Amino acid sequence: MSFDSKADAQLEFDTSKDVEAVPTFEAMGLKEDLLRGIYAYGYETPSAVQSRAIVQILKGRDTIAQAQSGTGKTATFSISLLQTIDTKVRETQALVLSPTRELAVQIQNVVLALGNYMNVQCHACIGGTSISEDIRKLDYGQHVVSGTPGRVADMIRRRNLRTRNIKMLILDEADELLDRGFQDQIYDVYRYLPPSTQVIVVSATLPYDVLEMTNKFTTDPVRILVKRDELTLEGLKQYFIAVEKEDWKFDTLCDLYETLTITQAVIFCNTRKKVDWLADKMREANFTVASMHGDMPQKERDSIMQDFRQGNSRVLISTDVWARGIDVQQVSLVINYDLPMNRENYIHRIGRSGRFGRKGVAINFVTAEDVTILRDIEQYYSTQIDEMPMNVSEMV
Amino acid sequence: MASAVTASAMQVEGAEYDPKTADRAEPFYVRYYSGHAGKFGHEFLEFDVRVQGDGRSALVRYANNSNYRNDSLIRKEMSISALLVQQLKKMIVDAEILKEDDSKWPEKNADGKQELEIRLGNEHISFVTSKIGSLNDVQKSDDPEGLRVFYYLVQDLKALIFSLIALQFKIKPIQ
Repeated sequence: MSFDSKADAQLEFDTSKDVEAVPTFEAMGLKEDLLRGIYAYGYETPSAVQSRAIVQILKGRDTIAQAQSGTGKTATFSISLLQTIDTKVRETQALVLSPTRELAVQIQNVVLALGNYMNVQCHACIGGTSISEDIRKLDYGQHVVSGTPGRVADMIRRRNLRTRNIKMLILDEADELLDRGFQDQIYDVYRYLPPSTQVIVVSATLPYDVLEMTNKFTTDPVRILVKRDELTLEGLKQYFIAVEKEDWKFDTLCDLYETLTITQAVIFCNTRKKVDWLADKMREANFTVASMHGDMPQKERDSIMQDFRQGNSRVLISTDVWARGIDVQQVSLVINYDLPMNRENYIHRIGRSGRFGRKGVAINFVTAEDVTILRDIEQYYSTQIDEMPMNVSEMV
Repeated sequence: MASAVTASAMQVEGAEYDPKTADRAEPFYVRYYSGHAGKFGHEFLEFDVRVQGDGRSALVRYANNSNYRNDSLIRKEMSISALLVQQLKKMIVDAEILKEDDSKWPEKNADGKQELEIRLGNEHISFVTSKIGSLNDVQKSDDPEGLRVFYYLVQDLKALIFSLIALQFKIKPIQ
């Protein structure tokens, strides 16, 4: 394959010209029982991405859909796939891939909720769970499979996940899935799918190098994009607290604890080890915290997620396993105990609060060296991250 | 937005300039730049506001550049009314930035620089300084009072311009 760097430099990605906004769900020509599910789920008017992307996907075109965090991307592709599948055929017709198990399960639940009146079978095919159970569910027949790349690839290889009827592949958090860590597994899955499979690429962040890469597995896609300077949410206020030394972050967090528990908060660290260390140290100081990372057994992860979703735990310390897609609407505060390793995950992490138009606050703990990185992030997204005022409790 | 100039602004030394009664066709120009060169190319944010002809409107230009993961320049332009220009002048007069002087401010450095240029009537400033991390950097500089004026004015200018740009260009993600 030749690489034309000149042509490449001229590549420009903008929202496609022919994309129009459909003002209501009724006007999208959806099935009656799906429409019922949408309203029962609590949706009234479609968000910007929903009003644009759903009808494009339903035309059968490959679609690249970007939208701000917490503005309804999951429902966008869930509604689209539910409209597309034929529930009379109990074979997998839509496959959704996500980077984390928790996200795959959450998507399964959204599909089941929106498809509540459609008699849809949707299975979460994720690592860390019983393989025999997976096989049993898949053998029974699942209209929709929402899974993580590794287990899905495994199930396809074993021929328990039959790909013959798959019409749609959805890559959620696509920029993460197309990153080095997942690329091979994604390709593994992709090459088993029928050549006519419609590909849907979704994320809040789609860096240009990823957009360029999408040319390899999409055909003349419709693009619905958001420029980086329109990516932060109006209702999500961002602050930072400058600390002289790393050691001072802990005391700062303890000082903030009262504020954290007003609703629910997520605290991000960059490593599993640090999550464990911080959680232990908080508990030693008599603060109640939950913690979760990818090194824990799935059973434990599940019960921590359940506790947090139900509001039984209010402060969760986690890694980037929690950065993307997870939707707990009560979360109104995010703390970056460590700054994220890349600019995309800054958007994803702070986007755990301020879901679907709610207000939210993000606080970054920065040492003298970090503050330059944070200022670069601020400038990149044309946003404002001010030094923290003292009355934060009134803002969450 | 277009409230009368506050008493404090009127007490400005000389107190002769009032944005409300000033000639709207007088020369008025504001430009802010913040940027650095690094592994993602020349990353910068820049905007300027220039009053047009008879002063009935002003042109706002905005740019944000980065080559982070092959990203590129974003440009936006729009017009604002004389009333908004008046408010902008008031922000500048209230901040008393025209009385400051950048001679003791931190020099631009490897982390980048900021520039603020303002022409208002007969006055013209063109300040250059380093990027400012936190208020602590302001505090420990050789001219904390002056730099603080700059820091907060820039914060206000950015808030205004970003809001206007968002209002004009951004599709509201949630209706």
